[in-house]
Amino acid sequence: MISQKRIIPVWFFVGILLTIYGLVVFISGIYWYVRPINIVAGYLHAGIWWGILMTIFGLFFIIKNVPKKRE
Amino acid sequence: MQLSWLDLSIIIFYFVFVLSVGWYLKKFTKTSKDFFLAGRECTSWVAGLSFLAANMGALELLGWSASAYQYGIIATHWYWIGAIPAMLFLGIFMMPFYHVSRTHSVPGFLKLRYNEPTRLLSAVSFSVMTLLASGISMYSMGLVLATMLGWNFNTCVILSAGTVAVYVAFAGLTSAIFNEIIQFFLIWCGALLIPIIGLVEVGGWDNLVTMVSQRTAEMGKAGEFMHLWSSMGSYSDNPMGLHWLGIVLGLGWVVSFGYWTTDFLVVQRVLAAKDMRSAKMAPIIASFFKMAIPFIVILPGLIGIAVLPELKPADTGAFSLNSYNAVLPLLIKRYFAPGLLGLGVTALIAGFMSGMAGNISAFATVWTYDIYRSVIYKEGTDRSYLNMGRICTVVGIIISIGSAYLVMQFASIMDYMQALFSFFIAPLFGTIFLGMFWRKATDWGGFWGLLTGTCSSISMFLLLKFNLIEGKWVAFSNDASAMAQNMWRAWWAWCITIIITVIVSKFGRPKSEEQLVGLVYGITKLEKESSYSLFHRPSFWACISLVAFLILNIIFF
Repeated sequence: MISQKRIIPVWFFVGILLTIYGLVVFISGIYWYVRPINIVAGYLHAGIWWGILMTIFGLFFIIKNVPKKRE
Repeated sequence: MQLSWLDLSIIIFYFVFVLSVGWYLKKFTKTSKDFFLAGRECTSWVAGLSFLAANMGALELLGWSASAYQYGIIATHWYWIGAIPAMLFLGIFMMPFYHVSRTHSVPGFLKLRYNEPTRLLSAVSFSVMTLLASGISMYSMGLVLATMLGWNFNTCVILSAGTVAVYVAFAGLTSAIFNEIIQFFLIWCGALLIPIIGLVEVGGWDNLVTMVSQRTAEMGKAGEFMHLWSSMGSYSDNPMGLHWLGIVLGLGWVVSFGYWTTDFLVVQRVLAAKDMRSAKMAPIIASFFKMAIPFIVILPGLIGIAVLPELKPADTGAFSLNSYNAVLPLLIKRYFAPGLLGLGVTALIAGFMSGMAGNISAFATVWTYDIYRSVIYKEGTDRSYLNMGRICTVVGIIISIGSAYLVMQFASIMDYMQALFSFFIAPLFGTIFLGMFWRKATDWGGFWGLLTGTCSSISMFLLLKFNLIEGKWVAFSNDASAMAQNMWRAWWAWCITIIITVIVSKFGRPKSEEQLVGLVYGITKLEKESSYSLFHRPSFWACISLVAFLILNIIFF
C-alpha cells in the first residue's frame, strides 16, 4: 500500500498483535490451570492451547513479513 | 461482568496499538489519493479482507447471534444467499468497470455514467445514512459496554470515537484498512473459540439439533429452527415468516446485490486495489471467509438456545443481560477465563470501532470528492482536498456522536434505520446495473429511475406502516412478516427503477460510445483472464466459491 517497498505490510502488525495476545492468553491459561476457575468447560484449559495457536500464527506472520527482508 | 486488571490491560493495549499504527502510517499519506483510496495499491488479500471486515462489525455479530437465537439457522441466509452470489458478481462483472473507470466512489461512477444530479442524489443520501449508521454503532457500543461491564456510557462513546477520529484523520483509508484487517483477526481469535467450546459442552452437532428442537418446543416457538430451506414453502412454517421466493428475489437478488455491489462503505475497499486482477479477486477471497462467518455468529446463537434458554426479546434499542442481544457476550462470560475474556471483549470493541472507522472514511471520501469538490469548491489544490478529508473526518465523528445521543432519545430510530437503508439500496442497484449493462440508458433516465425507485420504496413503507394497504399487495400474503415485506418492497422498488429508467431513456439520447468507454459492458475492452494460469484466474476461484456455497446449502437444507 502507498509504496510497497517502503511501508511495513499490515500482516506484520497482525503478527505482532497475535503474538503478544497469544502469549498473554497462554500465560493466563497456565495460571488458571494451576489455580482452577469456575467456568463452564474449564477442564478444556482453552487458554493454553488457544494461546499457543495464536502465538504460532503471530510468529508466522512476523517471520514472513519482517521489514528488512522486503527491502 | 467485572473485568480483571489483565483484561483491562489487553483492552488498553489495543487502543495504544491502533493509535500507534495510525501514527506510523501518517508519514505515507501525502496526497488525497493516499488518504481517500490508500494510494490504490492494495493487494487482493488486503482489499478482500478489509472489504469483508468493513461489513463485519460488532453490531452485526451481536445482532445476528441474537437473530439466530430468535429464528434459528434461517438467519444464515443473510451470510450465504444474501451475500455470496452478489460478491462473486461484483468481482467478475462489476469490478472491471469500477476499476477501469478509475472512479473514486460509487456516486463518482454515477456522474461518469449519467450526470451530476444523479451523483448528488446518491452522494447526499449516502452521506446522511452513513453518519446516522456511525452514530447508531456508537450508541450500541456504549450501551453494550455500559450494560455488560458497568462502564460509563459517555466515556465509552467519546473514548472510542476519539480514537477512531485520530487514527482515521492521520492516514485515512489506509489506516482504516489496516485496523479493519487487525480487527478481522481479533474477531476470529476472540469468537471462534465460543462455538468450539459450545459444541463440546452440548455433545456435538447432532445433540445440538436435538436440544434446540426440545428447547424451542418448550418455549412454544413455532416453525423449524434447524433447516435452511425445507421450511420456506410457507410463511407459517418457519420462525421468520418468510417464503423462499422472497428470500431468492428480495434478499438473494435485490437486497444483497444492492448492498454488496453499490454500498460505498464496502466498495471503497476494492476500489483501492492495485490492478484489475486484484480488484476482481478481492471480493472472491472475501466470499470464502463470508461463508465461514456463520460458524462464529449463527452457531453461537443456536448453542445459546440449548444452554441459555431463559433469554427474552428486548425492546428496540435496549440491551439487557437477559435479552437475545446478550447471547454472544453471555457465552463469552460462560466459557472464557480472565485473559481470554479480555481478548473477547477487545474483539467486540474492535468490531464497533472498525464499523465507525469504515463509515467515517467512506463519508469523508464522498463528502470531499462528490459534494465539496464537485459543487462547493471546484478549483482547490490536492493539498486542500487532503486537508478537507482530515477536517471532515473529525467533523463527521462529532456529528456521529450527536446522532448517537439522538438515538439514545429516540431508540426507534434503529428500526427506521433498516428501512432507510432499504429505500436507497435497491433503486441504486437498479440504476448502476442498467448503467453498466445497457448502453442506451440516458443520463436523465438514470436520475428519474433512481428518484422514482426511491420514492416508491418510501411510499410502500409508509402505506404498510400505517396500514393503508394490506401486506398481500406487496408480499402476496397477509401472513408475511415485516422482514418478508421489506424484501418484497426492495424487489418492487428495483423493478420500478428499471422500468422508469427504460421508459425515460426511450425519450432521450444516450451518450456516445466514446463517452461510455470504461463504463458499459460491450463497449469497454477488458483484460482477458486467459493470460493467467488456471489457479490465478479470478473466474476459477469464483467457481470454487460458488460450488462451496451450493454444497453448504445442500448440507443444511
